[in-house]
Amino acid sequence: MAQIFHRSANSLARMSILGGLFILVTVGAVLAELQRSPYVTRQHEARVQNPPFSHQHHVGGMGLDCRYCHTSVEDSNFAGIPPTKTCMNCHAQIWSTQPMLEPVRESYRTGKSLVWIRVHDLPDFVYFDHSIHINKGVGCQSCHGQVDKMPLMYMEHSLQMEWCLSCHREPEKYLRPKTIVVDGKEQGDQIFSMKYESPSSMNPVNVKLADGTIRPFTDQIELGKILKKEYNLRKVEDITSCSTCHR
Amino acid sequence: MSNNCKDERLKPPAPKAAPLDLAAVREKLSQAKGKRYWRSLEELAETEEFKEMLHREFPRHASEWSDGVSRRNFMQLMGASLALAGLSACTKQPVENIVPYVRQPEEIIPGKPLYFATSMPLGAVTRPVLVKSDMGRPIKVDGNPDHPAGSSGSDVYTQASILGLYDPDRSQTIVELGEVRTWGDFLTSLQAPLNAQKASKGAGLRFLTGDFTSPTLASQMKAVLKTFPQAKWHVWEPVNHDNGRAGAQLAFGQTLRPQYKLENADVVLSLDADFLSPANNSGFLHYAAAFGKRRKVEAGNLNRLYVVESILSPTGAKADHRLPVKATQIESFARVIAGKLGVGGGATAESGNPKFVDAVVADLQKNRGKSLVMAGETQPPAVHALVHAINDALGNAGKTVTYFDPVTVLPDGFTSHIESLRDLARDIEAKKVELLVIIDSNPAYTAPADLKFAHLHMDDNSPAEWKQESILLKVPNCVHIGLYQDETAQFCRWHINAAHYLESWSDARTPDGTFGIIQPLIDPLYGGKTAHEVLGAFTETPGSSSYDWVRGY
Repeated sequence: MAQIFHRSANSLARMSILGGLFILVTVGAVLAELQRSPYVTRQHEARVQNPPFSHQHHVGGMGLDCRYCHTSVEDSNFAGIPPTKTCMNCHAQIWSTQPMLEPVRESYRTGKSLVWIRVHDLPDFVYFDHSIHINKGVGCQSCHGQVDKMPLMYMEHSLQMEWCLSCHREPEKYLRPKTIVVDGKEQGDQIFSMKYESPSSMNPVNVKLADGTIRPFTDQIELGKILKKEYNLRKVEDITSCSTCHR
Repeated sequence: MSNNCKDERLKPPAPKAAPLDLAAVREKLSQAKGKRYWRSLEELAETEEFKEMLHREFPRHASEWSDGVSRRNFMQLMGASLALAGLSACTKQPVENIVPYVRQPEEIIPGKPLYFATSMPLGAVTRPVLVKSDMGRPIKVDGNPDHPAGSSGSDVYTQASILGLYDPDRSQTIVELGEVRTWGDFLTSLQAPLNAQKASKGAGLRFLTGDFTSPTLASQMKAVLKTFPQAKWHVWEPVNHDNGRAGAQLAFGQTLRPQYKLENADVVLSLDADFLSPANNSGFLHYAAAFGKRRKVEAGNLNRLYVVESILSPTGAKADHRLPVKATQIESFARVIAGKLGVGGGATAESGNPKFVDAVVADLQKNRGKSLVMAGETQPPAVHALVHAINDALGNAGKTVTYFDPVTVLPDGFTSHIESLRDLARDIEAKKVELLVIIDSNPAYTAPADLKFAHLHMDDNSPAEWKQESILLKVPNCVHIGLYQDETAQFCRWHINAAHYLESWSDARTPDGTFGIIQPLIDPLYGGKTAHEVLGAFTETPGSSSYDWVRGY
């Protein structure tokens, strides 16, 4: 009986099996990358707001503290978006005729709230609390990036779960001291500072510890381990447990 | 499968089963050996119909659901949709907005709730509560432990009251004969009947309220009755304390209300008093906590609880010794106990359980001043009076039980709720009532049927139809104020949507007499009015707000 298939069909069959596998893997990889891509996460995507509020100008230029506007960041899960009144504290006096600020003045006149686009938007099934991070030595900058260099706000990080876990698994890599000592002078509020740099051999940091002693550090991991104890961080098993964030 | 079912349905009904041959059944039973269980005579007789039914598993017309989509298809479709539902996570998050305040209120920290102390009135019972409010919206009601008459726990009514605030079935507007009206419309249209009443000194003016404890409302009512000396105020509350009142009147000559100190009592005898359940029991939280304190084995000062009751109750379940008796026997039981303790001496009828009686009497006598006898609210006045006498004879008064003036405000000459309502019904029937104001009461639903606040009436012309009738329809101007457009509102010309207690200013008194302020947590969601504002319409200053009234008082 004559053969139905030519001999070359063998390699064709092998190639189609391999090719099928290859296509599956490629599609999977592309989808996985797409899911992490800025296209989906909106990472690094500057959002156009009305009015076009500039953190660069207010934080970098004017040197406003984060907490002047985000008042509840130390007490609440929500950092707080300032009421129009906060804007008008200054803008009733300066730039009071700027057309760019008309939405602010209109809001203050009419009592109708400004509407901002949410830049850092965690899914609703994630529980997140600003105050605990602030009080345990996580700086604003660690998650929100160099806000003082952002004319329009954008997300520095993807805010995806793998990013959260990278810190929850090894918090000592990212913790910063609340108070450091520079040239014999104490500088507090390092959590809210955009100028703090973590210690390295090139950049030794003098840290004031809870018992009052001042110690120089040249290694972030060494400092982080001490701060973990000092700020009573919970164990890694606790802060990586599912129910910590998915309540 | 499904075709079979359809065929079954199309079949004509099976011919009626032949009557059972009882003789044959008996024969079978007599021949049976060993245990044999059967669920029906048909099964025992092993009739043909029964076998057929067992064979078909499901009786006729109860066969499997046989729509176009079979069960298997349905499961396949639902399974696929469930599996694909996960894919919806692989999308971009929608853009969300943040809308901050224009001027942020003081003390609000976004994301943190605030707590406000207020009081929750429910008929004659007021509970001091602490309300959790998130961004201006009350979300949870709990007991207020800082109030002198409060405690940290709460009961079902307190917990449920928050749902009442957001109930979509709440009345949302003022209505006149089914037409939406404004508060201004109401005040204007009230002028004519009110002037007529002023001329007749209020001869046709009647007020009907539920039980309330608010001193402000009481003073307003007094002022209105002074302006209209001929007007009458009636009180109707279906769940009331009339028996206790009458019993106290018998015992003391005045209507005192007992408050128990269970923490001091070593021996407690409850005569149908369900003090551990929140139903119609003002002191439930306090009593349950005090009772619980004396039930800790480690503390070593256990009390003993005897319960004589006619129903199963939580208190009976906690009793050390429980005697179930007929409801009618509780009074004779109380008489026997009283007689043996040397009170009254009316120990005529011997109770069904002399052993129980002797044990209780001996235990009570052993613990003079440390025992407590309680009577249930449903017991007749005689039982209440006997219990007061027993407690006095045992030296318990002042130690395990104290007496307070009642906090409920009632009209002069008030005897009982049912009498008060009957008076009103009589006046309405006699067409004496021209303007009736019903505040927080629903007689069409709760009044006894023979008062005819709501009854079915058959029309002579169309005897097949029943029509709903009410004596309230005989009142030309009937004003109803309530949270719901309920049965009574249907029969009233005016219905005014009331404000929830979480939306209103008022005051109230807890059962032990402590005063409490009711403060609003939120602006009235539907612009509801309070009883203060409605009664205010009958005074010189109809425009005053309830805040003004409470402050003014």
